[in-house]
Amino acid sequence: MLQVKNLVKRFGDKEAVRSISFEVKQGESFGLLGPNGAGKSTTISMICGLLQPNGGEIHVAGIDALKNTAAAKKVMGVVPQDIALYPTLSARENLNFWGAMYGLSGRELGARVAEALEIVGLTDRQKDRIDTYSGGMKRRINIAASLLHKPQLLIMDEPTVGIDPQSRNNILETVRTLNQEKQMTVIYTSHYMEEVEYLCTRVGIIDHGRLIAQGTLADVRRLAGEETTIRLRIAKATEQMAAALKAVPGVKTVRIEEHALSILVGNSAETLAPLMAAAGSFKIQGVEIEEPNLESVFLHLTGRALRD
Amino acid sequence: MRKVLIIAWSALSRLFRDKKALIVLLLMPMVLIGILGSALGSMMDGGGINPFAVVIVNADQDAKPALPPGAPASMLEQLPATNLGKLLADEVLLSDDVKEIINLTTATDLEAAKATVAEGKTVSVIYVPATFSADVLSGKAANIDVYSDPGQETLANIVEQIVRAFTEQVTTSNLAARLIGHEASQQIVEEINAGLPTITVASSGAKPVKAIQYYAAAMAIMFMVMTAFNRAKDILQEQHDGTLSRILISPTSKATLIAGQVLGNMGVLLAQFVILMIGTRLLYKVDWGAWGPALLLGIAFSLAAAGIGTAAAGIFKDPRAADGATGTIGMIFAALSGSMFPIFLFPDGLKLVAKFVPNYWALQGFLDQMSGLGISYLWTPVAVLSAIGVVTAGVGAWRLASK
Ligand SMILES: Nc1ncnc2c1ncn2[C@@H]1O[C@H](COP(=O)(O)OP(=O)(O)OP(=O)(O)O)[C@@H](O)[C@H]1O
Ligand SMILES: [Mg+2]
Repeated sequence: MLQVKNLVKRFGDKEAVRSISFEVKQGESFGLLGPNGAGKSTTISMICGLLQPNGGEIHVAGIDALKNTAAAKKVMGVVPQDIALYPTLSARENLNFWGAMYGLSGRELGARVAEALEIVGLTDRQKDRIDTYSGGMKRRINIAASLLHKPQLLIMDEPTVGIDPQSRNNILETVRTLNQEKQMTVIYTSHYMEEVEYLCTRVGIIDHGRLIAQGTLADVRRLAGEETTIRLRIAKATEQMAAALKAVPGVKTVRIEEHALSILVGNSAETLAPLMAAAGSFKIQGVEIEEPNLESVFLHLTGRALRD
Repeated sequence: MRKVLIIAWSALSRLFRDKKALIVLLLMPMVLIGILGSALGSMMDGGGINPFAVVIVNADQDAKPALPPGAPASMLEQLPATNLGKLLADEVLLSDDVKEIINLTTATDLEAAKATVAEGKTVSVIYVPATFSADVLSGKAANIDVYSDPGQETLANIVEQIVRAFTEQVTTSNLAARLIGHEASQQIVEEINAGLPTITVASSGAKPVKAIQYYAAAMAIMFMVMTAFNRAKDILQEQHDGTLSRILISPTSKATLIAGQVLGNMGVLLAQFVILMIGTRLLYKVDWGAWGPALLLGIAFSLAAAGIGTAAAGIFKDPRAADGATGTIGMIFAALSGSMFPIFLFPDGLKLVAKFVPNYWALQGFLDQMSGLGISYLWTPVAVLSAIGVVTAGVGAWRLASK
């Protein structure tokens, strides 16, 4: 559905995107994860034909998007990072306008607008002006506007930034439904790793304009190493306790923290039972298991946290 | 094409829904026209048709035609001496038709007469040089000079038209031969008179423009320029909000988008003009002259202002930058064109600068139509305004496209 090859974008002498390549298959949901200023929006702007790349190739549904931009644009639906709606128009009027920009008219336009309002759950507010909407509702109409022409490829640039949990859940559910039930291919950028982990089957991690990792969710997680951290919460952890646990097979390291023992193991499923047996005599107040996640992958790859 | 119209219509409908914008667009000019028109009305309007002051300085000297070769010298004595300058003054400018609109006085000192123009007491001074008759009779090029108050272009035009027609008549009517042939001088005078633009003078009556008419045109023009600049800010705001980018993300070309914005600008301005024209007609009984020419001027000025708005959108970086600068530019345009102070008070350099401001052409155009000068006075302002519109819209489109 989408092939991006050696994409480069420079702003003056600043290289915002440095030779990015990735591929998204039909029906997939691909997550693009990266911190502020990583180059996510720049990459998307080039894919949707808003920015001219300094190098590289883009193919959308088999169309060379750099040569036949108009045809490629018809296939894509893009949800911009900033809400791009007319604040003084109602939701319905906005959607009518954006539908018309995709060549829809008359009854078909009316039906598509109704359908899109239904999808984002704002049918009953359709006559209200956008500037009377909450941030979350604006974001939902921002999404609806990109669904009107039934795009094969839906590209969403941080569609949940700065909104309430209720709207956020609604949006995540909407995207999931579009992807899983309507078989829409989705590209989802975010710096929230939970969202990407929830929605996407494949991810790319982008930092300083480079794609530093990509693959299935499981593949990428494994990059952080196989280790799982098991944390035993104890009122007072001692050296003896640490030494006792270190002897359990499968345990790699044990670290004493203020009110806990942090144990790094190769495989938590196998090691947890013998570990608990060895710790039987300690007064354990709780157990936490930290599976590797995209956050730790990012930390592992860059030495920095995803969000500072 | 459909999308161009949709983009234009969207801009128009958004503006006409915005109550704050409507106040600036329609209410403020209507109120100002009413206030200025009535406050300055008694000052500007003499009431009825006032003949306007014209001074003639006739330095022309009696002349006789040159005799054909071989004619006896005694013949010269029999020929009547002709003074065309006197003919212009007595037979043309003091004729009953012309007397109704021109209040002619005779003077001998050209410089003193010109000073009265500068003081605003006289609209035009007509100067017939000493050799005028002699030059005409010997078939040389002959000219009569007219010095006019540039602030009274409409009235000055009438004087210039009469003088030009007179000069043309006397230089092309083969006067010398006819005088030698002893043709009755009365007949020649009648013929000259018949060739003068009496029709224009009689039918127009050159109605003086009332204060309310003047300010209806001046304020409509001034506020249309403000609207054009407001539209520029709207476009920049759209650029900032990302709606312009979103249009470009859809299968819509930059050319379509820009054409839609320019057309939207024009639509807004034309709607504003038509509403102000009808509004002032109904509320203040403003006579805009014939509807057709007034509308055509309105369309031409809408085009010019739409172009300027587009250029401003292309030149300024963001709405804030545009806001500061355009307010000042709008005021300068209005002041330069005579929307605030009559233009004849300006020094010469400024009068010349005024001609580069579209407001000037629009205001003069409307005033000419209001005083009934007819459509021959329409084409220059319409052409100038259209040209300004096309050039500035082109510059704006090019700048916007490269953003
Ligand atoms: N028009 C531009 N001119 C100059 N530099 C730009 C421009 N657009 C983006 N950049 C720079 O390119 C880099 C990548 O920006 P981009 O917007 O793609 O990041 P992002 O990953 O989308 O970040 P965020 O999560 O904050 O949206 C940044 O350093 C940014 O400052
Ligand atoms: Mg971004």
